Amino acid sequence: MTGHRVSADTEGYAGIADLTRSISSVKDEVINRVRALDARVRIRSTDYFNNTFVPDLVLSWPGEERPRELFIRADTNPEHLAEDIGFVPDRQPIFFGLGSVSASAEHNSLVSSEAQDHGVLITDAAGADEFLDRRRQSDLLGLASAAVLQGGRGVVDRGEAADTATLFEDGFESAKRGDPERTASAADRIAGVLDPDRTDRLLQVLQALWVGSGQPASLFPAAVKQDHLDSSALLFLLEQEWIRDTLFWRNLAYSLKFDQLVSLDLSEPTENLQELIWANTDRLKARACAAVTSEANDLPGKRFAYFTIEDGGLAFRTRRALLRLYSSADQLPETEKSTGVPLEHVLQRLRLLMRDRTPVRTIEFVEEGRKWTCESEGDRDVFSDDDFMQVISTAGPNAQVRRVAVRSTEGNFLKLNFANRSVTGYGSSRFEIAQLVTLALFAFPEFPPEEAKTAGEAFANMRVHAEQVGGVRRVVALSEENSHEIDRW
Amino acid sequence: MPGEELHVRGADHARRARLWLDYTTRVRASWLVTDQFGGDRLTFSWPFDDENFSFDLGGILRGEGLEHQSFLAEVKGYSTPADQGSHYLSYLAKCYVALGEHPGNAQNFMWITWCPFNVTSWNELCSPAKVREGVLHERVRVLGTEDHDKSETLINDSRIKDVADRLWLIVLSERQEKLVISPEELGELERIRRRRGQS
Repeated sequence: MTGHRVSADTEGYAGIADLTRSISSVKDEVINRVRALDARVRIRSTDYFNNTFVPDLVLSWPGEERPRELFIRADTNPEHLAEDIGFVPDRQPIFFGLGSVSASAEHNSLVSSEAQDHGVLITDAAGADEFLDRRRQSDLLGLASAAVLQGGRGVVDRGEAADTATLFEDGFESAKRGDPERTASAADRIAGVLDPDRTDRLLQVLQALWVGSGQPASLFPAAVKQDHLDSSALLFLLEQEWIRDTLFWRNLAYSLKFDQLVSLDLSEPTENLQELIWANTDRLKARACAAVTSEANDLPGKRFAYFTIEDGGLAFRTRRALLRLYSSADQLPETEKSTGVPLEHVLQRLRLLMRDRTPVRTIEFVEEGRKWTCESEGDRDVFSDDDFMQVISTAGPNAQVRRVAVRSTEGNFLKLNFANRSVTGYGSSRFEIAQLVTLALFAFPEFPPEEAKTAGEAFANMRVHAEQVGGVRRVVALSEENSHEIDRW
Repeated sequence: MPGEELHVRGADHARRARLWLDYTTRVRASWLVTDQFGGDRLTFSWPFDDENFSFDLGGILRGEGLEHQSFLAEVKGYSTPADQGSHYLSYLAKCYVALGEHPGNAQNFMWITWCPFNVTSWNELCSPAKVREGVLHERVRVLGTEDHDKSETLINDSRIKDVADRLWLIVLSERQEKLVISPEELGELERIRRRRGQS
């Protein structure tokens, strides 16, 4: 019998509207839970409900190529769920049960093994709520709930969710302490809960924490594809909800390199990127910094400055300044070179640097077609040099400073180029991003001195805080330039 | 067949019927009376009996000619005609009540069976006369009277015709259940629809 002869009357439409509203209400509840588990997830609701083949929701994440389908399951009979897995082969979806997905051990073992084998996550409201309760106690568990949402497998009811949350907590804590047995045990069990990609990412995180605890990567008690956080794992972390745990970010970035950070394809300046950078301003080292004359910047949130990854570099933005940090001086943007900055203005700024205990080694300025280069010897700064002060006093109002060299806190020399507003080192020298930023803000007259003072204090306070939570463990950087390099501009 | 086994077998066939309907790609949403969403939406009250009755399966259809139409289904996993003829009459009475009670949920009525019945009058099974016969069969619970003649006067002829217009008879077989598009190809179809913004 085919065909249909019903004319949909007003009453009929009202009835369908009721059903549609009920379905929307159920879907909204599931959507709210999914969002609570991971605020960064994008959710598209389909026109379907409880269909065998078409998902109710399609979840996707910034930076993740593969979306994950979510099927609402009104029938949570374990045998039926096991059968349903066979109808969505190779799709590794989530089945979200409207009822409890817990059932008899016999049935559950069947559906559990099917779900694990096929990368399917079967969960319910109680399982999701357990994760939510646990993550309220620790931001780090947001990592776990996001990883489970993206690549979890097996049956995760309330009990399993509690076990999984504990497993991740144990893993993070054991790795932070460098405890080989417990870390190995957690790593082993994580592989049973997550798909291979997510497992590898989480193990990389554990390994990074392990290395941060002072243990060598070679002794990490689990198999990981590489001995450091790869870009995918790092992006995964940075894309998560705000993890306010300076020690976590400090330990995690023990072996993180500036170049890896700025190569990330991070679509927006996440709070976790700020946490990572602020906790490691002494470890992240760049080679060059460009000062960009900046209009008033509109900053998100309440921070006085924001870092973003832009154009292959790291941008540092305050309300009134924009600086760009690079891995190489070759990356400095092309600018229209000026003849320099009036000597008088530069001297005012250099005195601020002196107060900031940054000795000025060399000043080069031009006047009336003549170039003057004043250089102090040893650790003295030019302001302590009577001859220099005498030359300065004879300079006229047209004297323009082109370049200045200052000594960094680690003893290296930094070039301040007033013609293109850049700060660079010599040779392959790298400098703490805090130092480059503060120096540029202090030296270049277009920036208000208060910005430099605020930034300098913020970096110093953050460093004290990072050392307090993590213990002092400085990596000593060897001076990489030869003493005669200072002679080559 | 013992009652419990019959019940399990019925639930199994309801699930199989639902699966087959999903395979047709013409079902947007569906639910079983045994699941978390379906119970309340598939249960109705006899006008003159304290007991409720329910359909096995329900949902919303999609696609040309059926878009956003609801359906209610009774599923019979019989391997012989057995007593389907009698059950079918009760089913027609249930359709009559459901249409009166909640017309929005009752835009299509499907009888899904694994074995034909009443084959000599097969072409009459979806007629208004058969629906009337069904209502009279259940007249005590539907109309509140044993009296046949009085019942005839109480029947709503317009609703009888409406029910008849909404009836479907679907006969499935195990082999027919396998003669469907593969899950992989259905998945592919869904991805195409999604790219077109159609789902």
